[in-house]
Amino acid sequence: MTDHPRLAVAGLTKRFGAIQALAGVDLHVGRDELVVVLGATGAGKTTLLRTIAGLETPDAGSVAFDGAEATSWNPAARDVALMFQDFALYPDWTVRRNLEFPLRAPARRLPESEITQRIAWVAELLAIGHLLDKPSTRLSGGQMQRVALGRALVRRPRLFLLDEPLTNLDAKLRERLRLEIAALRRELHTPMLYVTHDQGEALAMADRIVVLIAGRVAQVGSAEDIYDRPASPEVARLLGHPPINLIAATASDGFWRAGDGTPLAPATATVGSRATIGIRPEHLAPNGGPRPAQIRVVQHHGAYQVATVAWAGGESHVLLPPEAALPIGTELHPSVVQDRALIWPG
Amino acid sequence: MSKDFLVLDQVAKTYADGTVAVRGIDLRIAEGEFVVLLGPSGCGKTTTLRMVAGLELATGGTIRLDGKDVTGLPPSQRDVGFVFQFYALYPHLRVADNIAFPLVATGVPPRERKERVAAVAESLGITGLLDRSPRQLSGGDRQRVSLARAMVRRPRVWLMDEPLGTLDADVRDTLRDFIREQQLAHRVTTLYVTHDQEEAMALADRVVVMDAGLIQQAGPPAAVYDRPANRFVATFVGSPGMNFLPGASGEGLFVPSAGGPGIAAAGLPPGPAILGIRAEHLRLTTVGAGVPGTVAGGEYLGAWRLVHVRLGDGSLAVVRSPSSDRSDRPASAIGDAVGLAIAPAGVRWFATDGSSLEAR
Amino acid sequence: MSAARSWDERGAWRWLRFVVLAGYAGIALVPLLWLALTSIKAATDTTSTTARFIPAAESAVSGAASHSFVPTAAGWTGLHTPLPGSPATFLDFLLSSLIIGLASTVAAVALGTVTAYGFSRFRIAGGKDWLFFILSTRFMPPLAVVAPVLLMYQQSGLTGTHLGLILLYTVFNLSLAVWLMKGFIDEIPRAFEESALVDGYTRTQAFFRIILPQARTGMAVTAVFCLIAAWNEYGFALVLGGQGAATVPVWFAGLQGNISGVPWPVVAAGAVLFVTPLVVFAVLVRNHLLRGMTFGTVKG
Repeated sequence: MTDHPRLAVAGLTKRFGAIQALAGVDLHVGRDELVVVLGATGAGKTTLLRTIAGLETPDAGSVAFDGAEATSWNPAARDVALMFQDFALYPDWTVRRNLEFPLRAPARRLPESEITQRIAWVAELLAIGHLLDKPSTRLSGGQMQRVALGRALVRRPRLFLLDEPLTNLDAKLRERLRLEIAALRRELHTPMLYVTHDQGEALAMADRIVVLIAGRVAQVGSAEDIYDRPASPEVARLLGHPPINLIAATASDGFWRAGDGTPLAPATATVGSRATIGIRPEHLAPNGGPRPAQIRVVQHHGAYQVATVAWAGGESHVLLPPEAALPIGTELHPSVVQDRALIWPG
Repeated sequence: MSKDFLVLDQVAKTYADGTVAVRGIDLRIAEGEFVVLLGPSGCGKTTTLRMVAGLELATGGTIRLDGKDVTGLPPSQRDVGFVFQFYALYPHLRVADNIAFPLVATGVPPRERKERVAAVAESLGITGLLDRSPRQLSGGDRQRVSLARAMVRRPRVWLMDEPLGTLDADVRDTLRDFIREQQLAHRVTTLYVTHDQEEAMALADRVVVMDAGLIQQAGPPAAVYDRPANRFVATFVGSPGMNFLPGASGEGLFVPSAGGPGIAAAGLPPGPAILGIRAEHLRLTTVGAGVPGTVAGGEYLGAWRLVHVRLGDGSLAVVRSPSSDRSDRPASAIGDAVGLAIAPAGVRWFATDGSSLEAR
Repeated sequence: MSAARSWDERGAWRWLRFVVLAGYAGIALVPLLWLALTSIKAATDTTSTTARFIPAAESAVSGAASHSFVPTAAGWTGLHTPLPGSPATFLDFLLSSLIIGLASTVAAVALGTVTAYGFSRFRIAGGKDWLFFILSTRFMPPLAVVAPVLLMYQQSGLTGTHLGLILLYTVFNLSLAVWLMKGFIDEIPRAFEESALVDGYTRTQAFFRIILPQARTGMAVTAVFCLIAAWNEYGFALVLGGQGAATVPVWFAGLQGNISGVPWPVVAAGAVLFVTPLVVFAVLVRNHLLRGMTFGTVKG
């Protein structure tokens, strides 16, 4: 076996007119892992995926599969499967015909018996056997998603590329399908590059997360790494729900203090130096701190409540236990859990 | 303040092709209340909202707004504001003219129009965008403008159809806070549709859970989460949904069919029943000390960690624990044999048909 | 009780709908029926001062005030009579119309679809300017360019040939075809052919297997417009068609100068044959036209 990764992307750059979609992206996907590319809308995620699939030509940089330079290969030669956000099933065709389509491609045509076998295999795997003869327009969102996934799986490509495949589905269905996709991938031992703007999907599914901000890779690491030790405030803001509290602070008398003087964390830096302090809501205890904070809004989340409070010169989120009945206007005294404040000097 | 400001009385909708979307809905909404219709696609929630707006006509029942029967009135005579899922902005008008549009229709003089547009733009942070064309805006900004257009007028009811549906998480959170703050500030009666249970719980004074064209349960978020009326509500509300352990009770003890020690079940009639329990009321323990199972997978959610446990009867149970709590970490590798400890305070009882057995 | 009432209402609606539709069909069909009747009348019956529209045996016809007439095949056999000063009969003209109409329609739709696909999917340098240029070819009234076209055709020997008129109609219809088809192809998601590309198909294969079937409605609509335009065109057909390639509209015009007056039964018989291919064509593409109207979803 070689030790080349399944996919290696180096210095990928792509510009559309005035928009710099990709600005020197490096990343690799191993032979059996699920890598999630997480980024906001417009961060360049889809362009990255399309360039890897060969649907866009990069201005600079290279794409290699298993060590073979592939930047100039046409899409058909790359042997990757791409699943689109809106599924791209052909509307007049039955589910079966949609699934067979990739297997009948002239570039890699299979014998009829093999096609029949593969369809049976994928229908069983995804529990869509009863849908095979239905027209694809007659399916529900969840069923369409399954068939689209089936069309990617049936080819047994060298790499799966998924472009926000769950975005158009109900929240409840999303939670279930993200588990199924990750489990299926493990079963097939085929690597997957999964693009999303949903931090919950990224955390729950990824073996590794690549955070993409404005066309650049901002951080790479495991979900825990990135959640616990984000490289910058921008990365910290992308992960976590409710979002992290970010507060500008100045060092004085041994503490990082917010603009209104609220102490946030112990400081060893010289007096007067500045930093951004990040405090995740679960690390901000509702009481025990020195300064009062008035509750502006309370939102119930079932297992906990999220209070938006006026604190440290701005608004912060605090988690409350589910049974706490605190009306708007109640005063809390938030305190930062020891050692859990994140500090970015500058 | 009227207790029966917006009243739906046996409201039903059957389309011309025979599709039954809404089977008969009773709902009384107080003035200033924020009510969220929650359910999966096809449950009838959007149709219900559109009937209140007058965009669809009810085929049965009556809708009364402030004491007046509006069932057959066109939308323009109902004094409602509607926010669509896909920011239905007019591409040929500037942002400012888009926002002012509802005021033009109601004959507000130009000077007052300008003032009100400026005020609502200010509170949404879009003052800088007023002279742009909608085409030049990002999705989040378009939806802000769309909200501004709905809110520039103070209609008697705000109707919102999944207004945050397709936005990025951070924009969604900001706009969610904004909607709630505006609603609290002006106390405008609001009916809001979503399939996202978290959004529903976060926004609502009262959540109305719908399925198959019927109301399954209506109540404050905490009550719907904590005391679900049936298994559908228990599963749909909460992430993850409630866990269920079928079993049988007798002599004040419930024995799960997946095995494990009996659980106190005072007052439960003898016979088959289902124990429902939320993920945060389950804890991983040693095999002998709880319902036995094997770890099937895990999900890291940042502040929390979920562990999926496959039970003896093949069903899955989900355990939620804070990521900072490392006590059960050693026993959570895939394939490990574990026991599930059940916190008695979290136990809810259901009949085998799925309805709740709790006294209400 | 309410069930019974709603049944009655539904019955009443059904009747009303029938009456309205039947009335409209009657109004729309009367001219066509009159045309068909005229084609089997004698010439004198077509110009009589009383309207004669009841076919009858000779014995039953009574006097000049009668509404009856005796059917005759003279109008139809008249189609075999060559026009004065020409050996060609109606059937020769009809054949020319069919060849020229169908060939130019097929050519315009095919070229239009391919061109529109290019404009829709690729970033072409000056793409918008090219599109506008294509549209601008229609700005000038066609007859304004008859003379230069005639000179060009005479030089290259295209006058009086089918190919000449086929080329001309294709060029005239192409701008319409490109613009119509671009609208239709823009509506087909790019992801459709891109997923085929990734799955191992070439762009050409993806175009034929995915885009063409999806564009059927657009192609049917475009074909109807192109065929009607080519079928009814008169000016160029008269000037450039010459002896060999004149189409049916030229034949109709040729009858005007007949010394014994316009032979209305012959005109009517020709008109019946002239509209028939269009009707057949419309029926054939009907399903493709309606297919595009049935999209739409119901949302909960």
